[in-house]
Amino acid sequence: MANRMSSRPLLTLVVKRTFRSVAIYTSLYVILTFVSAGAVRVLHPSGALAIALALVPAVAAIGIVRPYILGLREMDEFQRRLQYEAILIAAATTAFASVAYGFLEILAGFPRLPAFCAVLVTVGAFALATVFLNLRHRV
Amino acid sequence: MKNRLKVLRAERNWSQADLADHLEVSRQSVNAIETGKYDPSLPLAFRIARVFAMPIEQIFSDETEVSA
Repeated sequence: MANRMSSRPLLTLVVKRTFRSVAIYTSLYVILTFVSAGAVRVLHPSGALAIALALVPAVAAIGIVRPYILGLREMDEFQRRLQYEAILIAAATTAFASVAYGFLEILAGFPRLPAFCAVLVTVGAFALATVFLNLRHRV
Repeated sequence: MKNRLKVLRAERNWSQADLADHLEVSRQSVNAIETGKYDPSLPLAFRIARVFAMPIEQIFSDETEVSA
């Protein structure tokens, strides 16, 4: 019998650690976005400082992607397949939602939304797809 | 693809968790293979064959194969 601590708990650990890191950096991203927006409102910067302040949250965005990719590499092939399916569903949802809302803006006079709304759609669709796929293969 | 994973596991009195430990995959993966929802890659199929000390073709069979 293999050492019971050798694989399954480790894989569960990988998934938990990955999503914990992603959650921490996502929170940091939200905080930095508000800090950056607040600083722009107070300082009214221009030129290089305005660009730098606008890009501050991007540092946290890199932090979101990196642990996810590292965690993905440590998952087993079936877990990885579920993640790829969730990513595909999220990408397709974002593409369809962007195109559909784009037409609504142009043809039906809907209000213009900031580009970062696409990220919210992607993250929301990815979270829902992950939950749905894991419930489907629950043991 | 059909497989005899559940039967072979039962013969050894292993739980899905035990087999998952042997294969170094999650229990979710073992369950998905057993229920036919997921066909393992060739490297994993070889690992399964090694764990059960059997040739791959005695564990996995093609559903479309016509029996003689």
